[in-house]
Amino acid sequence: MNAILEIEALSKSYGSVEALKSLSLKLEEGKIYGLLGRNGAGKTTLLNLITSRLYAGSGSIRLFGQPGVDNQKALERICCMPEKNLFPPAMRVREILRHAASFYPSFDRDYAEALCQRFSLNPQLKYKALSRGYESILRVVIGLSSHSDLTIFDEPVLGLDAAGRDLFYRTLIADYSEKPRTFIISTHLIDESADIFEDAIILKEGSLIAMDSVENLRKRSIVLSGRKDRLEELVSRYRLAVLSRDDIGRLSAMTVAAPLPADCLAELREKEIDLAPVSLQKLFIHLTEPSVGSFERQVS
Amino acid sequence: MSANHRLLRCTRYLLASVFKPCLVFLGIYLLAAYGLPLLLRVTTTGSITYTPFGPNSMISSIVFLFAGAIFLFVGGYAGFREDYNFLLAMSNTWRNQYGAALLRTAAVAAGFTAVSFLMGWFERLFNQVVGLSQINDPGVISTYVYPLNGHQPYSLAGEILLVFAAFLTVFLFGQTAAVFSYRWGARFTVAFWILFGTSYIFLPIMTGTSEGFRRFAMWFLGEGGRDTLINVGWHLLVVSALLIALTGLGMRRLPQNA
Repeated sequence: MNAILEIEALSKSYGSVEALKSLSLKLEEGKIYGLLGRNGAGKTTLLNLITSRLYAGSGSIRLFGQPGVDNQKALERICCMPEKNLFPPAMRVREILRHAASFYPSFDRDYAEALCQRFSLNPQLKYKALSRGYESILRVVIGLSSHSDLTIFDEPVLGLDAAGRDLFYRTLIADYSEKPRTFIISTHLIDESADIFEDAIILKEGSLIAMDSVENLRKRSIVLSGRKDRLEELVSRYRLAVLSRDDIGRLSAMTVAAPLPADCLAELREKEIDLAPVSLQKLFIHLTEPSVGSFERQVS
Repeated sequence: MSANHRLLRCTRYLLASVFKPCLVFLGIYLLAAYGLPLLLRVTTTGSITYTPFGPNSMISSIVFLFAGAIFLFVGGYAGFREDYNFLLAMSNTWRNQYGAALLRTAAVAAGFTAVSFLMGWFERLFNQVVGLSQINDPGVISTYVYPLNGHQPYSLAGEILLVFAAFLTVFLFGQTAAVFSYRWGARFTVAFWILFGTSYIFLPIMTGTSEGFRRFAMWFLGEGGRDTLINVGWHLLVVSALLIALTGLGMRRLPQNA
């Protein structure tokens, strides 16, 4: 697959605060990426640097094989719908969509109108009259209708109710299936959006700590639950790397690095210890804890 | 979509964003200057004539020039943030935005110049006409058209230059201030408005205390030149060019500040 975004040693500081620290990554076309990180991890900064809305202190960005900074040809193949409000408050939804259609070469106005109907967004309303949820819906409508080669959503479901979020995920998947392209979705709602991500990019304090397919990330660890004493003994004997643990009375649930040795697996069954796949959110919370290093460092 | 196409689209958007405010301003101006007096059948004959007749007088409206200049300065300042942010959201580079802002500024200044001349004609009309019936009198109309025909072409060119350059300068001035406010935030904004707000105090003081500054001010205002209108016009064009350069510096790689 072709790389549509290549980032090399990208750094960005705000005064004395380092928002991104020599970050390097490569994204392939035709995938849905989840960009995950705690508040202040550098997600929005990264997205703004990709779209030349901010400028890096050092490092390079290549988009579609060309230098990416201030490259209009590359930029017009990207639709980035930010979390912050960049639309004129007095402008009507209909006008915003009309302007978006004139700026994005592949914008589908009929689809935009259909999405407005599906999400019950009234195009006659002024932007300032929209609730937080409907502001998000408008961004979703523009982002999906733009049919850009790279579509970026920063917190796309902010303020949306459960039904609206579910509709967004379903619409995104349906649209992606029909017209495959690359999406980067930055979100804090990891559990409910994990199923739509093919790959996850996890940032922590401005650095990339993990980037892999969600499936592989999940495979890298496993949750063991059972009697605390049995678990502790097993973990100690097989020298398993414990990523996190929760104790409730005599019971314990430990997230350990996978794969487990075959004899260990056999012993787990004998000692009535349950095995379960780890959730992406659980893994994310553990990985991004201040005291925890990169996944690779922990399990090596 | 080529880069030029993109530039034109940005320009079209920027023109669309000022179109409605300009119409509202024009409506209010017409209502205040002509609509209400006409409705009340108020005769303005004998009152202050803004643009007196004669080949050496200005045929554009001085009142509109000042009102329009204030509107463009405030509009240029107030509208920048919204426009810049929206065009960023539509994946446009700062270069396109800068180019489009210049094209828009020139187009609006040209439009306001045309309206200023139209308003000058209105002033002549309404300063002399008591009732609407007289507007239809061909004899009366010819007296309004005469000053245009009788105007010296050289003088007319100077006046067009002056009015256009004045609108261009103030619109650019508002936008330049807005660009730096956007870039540097509250510190610049506060300092700018304090300096700008008190300039009517310290500029006259400076002309009184500094001989060099006084001479510069007299030269800038065309004192002693052969044609005041042309002199002031090109001086303002030079200021515009400086503001264009300054705006370019301010907008160069201007990061999003929303």
